[in-house]
Amino acid sequence: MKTRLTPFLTALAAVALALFGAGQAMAGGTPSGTPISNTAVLNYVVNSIPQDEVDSNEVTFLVDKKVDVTVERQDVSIVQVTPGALTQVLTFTVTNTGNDSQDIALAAIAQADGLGITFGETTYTDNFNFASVSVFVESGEELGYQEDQDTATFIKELAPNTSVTVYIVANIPLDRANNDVAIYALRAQVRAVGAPGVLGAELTATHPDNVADDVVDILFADAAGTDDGPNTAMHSARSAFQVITATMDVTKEQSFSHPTLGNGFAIPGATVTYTITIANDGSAPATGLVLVDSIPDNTTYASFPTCGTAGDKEWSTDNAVSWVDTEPGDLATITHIRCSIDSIAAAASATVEFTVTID
Amino acid sequence: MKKALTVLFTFAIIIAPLVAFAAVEITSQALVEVETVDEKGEKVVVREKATRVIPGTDVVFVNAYLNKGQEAADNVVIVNPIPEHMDYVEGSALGEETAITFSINGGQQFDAPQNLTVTEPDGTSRPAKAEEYTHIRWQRTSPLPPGQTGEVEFRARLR
Repeated sequence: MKTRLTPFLTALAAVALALFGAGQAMAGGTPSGTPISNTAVLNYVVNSIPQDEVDSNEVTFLVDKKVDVTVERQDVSIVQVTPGALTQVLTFTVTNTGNDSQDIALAAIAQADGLGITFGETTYTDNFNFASVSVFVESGEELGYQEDQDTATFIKELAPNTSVTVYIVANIPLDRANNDVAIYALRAQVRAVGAPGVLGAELTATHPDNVADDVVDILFADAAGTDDGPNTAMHSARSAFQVITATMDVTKEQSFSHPTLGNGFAIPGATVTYTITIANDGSAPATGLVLVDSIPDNTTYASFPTCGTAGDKEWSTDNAVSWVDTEPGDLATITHIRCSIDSIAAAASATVEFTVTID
Repeated sequence: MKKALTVLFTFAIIIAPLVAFAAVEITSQALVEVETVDEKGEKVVVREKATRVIPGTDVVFVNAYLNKGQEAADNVVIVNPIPEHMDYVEGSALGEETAITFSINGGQQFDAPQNLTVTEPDGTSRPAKAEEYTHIRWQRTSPLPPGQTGEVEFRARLR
């Protein structure tokens, strides 16, 4: 009975195993420490008599610890920031691509001036570094960097084949110019699992000559990153900030027109037209623009025909201390004009125009 | 006397397979191939005991067999299940003087790779993939004479 049942049971067990194996998609790989064993079975016949099945020895080894980590940038385009903006972030994904739970240390690495980084088809060149940046791990509480929630500076016990979001956080100095670029790398290093709340120690790969069967060896299997070599237990990727600001360029032109003599004569009785062009040569819209100009000595205010396309015109009769939004009846008392424009888009301009009469 | 003879005969039948039990032996080894540089500075692949294995590593399983008996062993058949957590590497099964077939249903049936098909839930069928093999079978095409050895092997990749 035993000999009849055994092959059947073995076959049944093998089918069960095969089914289990098919559903078991472990991209991180077979867990560290799993025993793998193999036994071959031999049957033969002597003088036409089938002999008892012969089992081989069971050869067994343990799956070793595969140390592997992958860092990818989440930013699909360069991160545009305004001078003075606080807690701006570069966003990365750190994945444990090994086969065991690990702590992971994180470091931000500033890149040298002149280094390039490509997003899509555009290459940007680094020209500044921050005095300091911070690295924080997404807590999962509320997605996106939250200063009060995302406070961990290393990753605790990241399970195989799982990912976390990590931020490089910087405050943008006020004195940065338009199109300044700062490139930073995030480098992740696989560590041993430390005590609760504590980052574990650095790992050491087992020496290749250590060939004990019953020991889980430590093998570094990571690829080279942007800022580390292969098989270093590290991986890295880069992202970058680009400073985007409005850069205003104001030019003022004058032209003369005399009622009888025609254009170009700057003599009493002539009208002077002042044309002020406010151009935004930056990459970001400029908002809340206010232009104030004075009526020159020895001239009298005449008209204020243009203040952008829909700006607010105001007049002052007391040297810009107070303002009224209708033109005063006595033009001779006007000392200043003011033009307020909501917004000028990048690469756009607005025109302000007023006229005076030479006394 | 007749009764004694019957007992003796029964005994002989039981004893015969027991004697033959040890006649053919099989030993299994798990090896990894490591590339090293020899004295001449040339790259050589050396097989070492599989002690350093991580997901993605190929392991070569070598089954060596030996006929220690007095008689030739006929119909020698070796069956090796693909170890758990491992995938058979296509085309890696070797064995001199053997016909090699594979099973995708836990060793119930064996056939050549081109005859192994998997029926999908929607009724269509496709050739079985190497990682779907559950067992490998080597059937010797000639008797194994006394004192003679043989070797079969295959390669599997750790998932």
